[in-house]
Amino acid sequence: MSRTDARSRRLRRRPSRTVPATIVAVVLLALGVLTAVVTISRLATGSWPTQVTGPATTVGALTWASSALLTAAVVAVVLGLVLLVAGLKPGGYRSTVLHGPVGDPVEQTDYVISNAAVARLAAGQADLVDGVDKVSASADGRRVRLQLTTSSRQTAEIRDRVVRGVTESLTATGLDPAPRVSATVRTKDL
Amino acid sequence: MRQTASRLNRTWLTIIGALLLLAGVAGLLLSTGQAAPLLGATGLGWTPPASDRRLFGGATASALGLTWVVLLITLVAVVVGLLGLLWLLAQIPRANAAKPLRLHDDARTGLTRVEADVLTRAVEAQVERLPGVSNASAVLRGSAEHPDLTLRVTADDRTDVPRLLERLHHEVAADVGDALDTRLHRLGVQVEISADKSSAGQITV
Repeated sequence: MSRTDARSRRLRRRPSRTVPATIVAVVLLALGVLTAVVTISRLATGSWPTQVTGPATTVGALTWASSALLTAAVVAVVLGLVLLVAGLKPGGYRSTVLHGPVGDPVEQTDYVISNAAVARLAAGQADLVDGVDKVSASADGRRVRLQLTTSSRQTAEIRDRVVRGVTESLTATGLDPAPRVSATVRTKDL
Repeated sequence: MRQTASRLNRTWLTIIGALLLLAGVAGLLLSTGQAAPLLGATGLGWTPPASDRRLFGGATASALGLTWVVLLITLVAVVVGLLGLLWLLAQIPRANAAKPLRLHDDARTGLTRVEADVLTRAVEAQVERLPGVSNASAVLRGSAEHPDLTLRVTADDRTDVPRLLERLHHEVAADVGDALDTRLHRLGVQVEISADKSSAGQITV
């Protein structure tokens, strides 16, 4: 389980599944250490530790049709499916490609902007539009969703101006593909 | 910027997931008594234990009494534990920066080496002087002949991103190429936008 990544890779990446990998690695490590401690104790003393013999007798007394084994099998199937999905499902990109200058003095270029940065750019642009009191934004690479709060009654007009302004701004930034921008407007009660 | 063990994680998660799934399905078939008819239909010639039999019989108990079996279990446990530890260590994100770059590597005429972080510190300082940029970090990978520069640039939300990329490409990358007396093999830039709102060029009346 070693890594051979001492070279640059594309900056636009899919999730690397660090959380499930860390959990499984910790479980494997604990399982290996505990089993090794128990078996080394057995080799040193000539008898199995009492902390192990009790549970082992209980497990050994179970039949194949026991509900405990059935439950364990169901848990194994569910866990297996979860790990398979984590391993095989590509997952969404965390960043978007940016158009940028190419050619001399560089052979290859790779420009990206993170989804969080796209959301901040969009929120910053929306905040410039007259009538917008408060704005929050989220982006997932293909879509940007804005939640606007205004004290104006002209909600449709404000939404159109914000969507138009943010779309133009993100297109001018060079996002490839340019995300679809949508906005919901909430009127602040006066 | 920093590299994670994506391929390693996905490969081992898939392998362990498939093994767990197979073990779970086998357990379900044995537990519900469906294993025997299925195996009979395939004609493999192996009869699974009946569902009313105990999980571990006398044979397992006597096997666990043999020293070589215990030694084998210890060996397997140590290997599993080590693999778990290595996998855990692989989760630490790494910059994988270049080793000292050898600008001249002929011992007869003289050796010239430059630490990669000397260059990246200069690059970071240069990038942080660009308009709108609040923070920059750089990693130099590859070799003196084929250098790869990766930048993470944090700018404010009013920054002209295309103009920023132009300057990174034509000024910063060109300067790194000049310093190493070669053409930069690859330039990677990850743009971040700071959470602080810019008030530059803005007046409140």
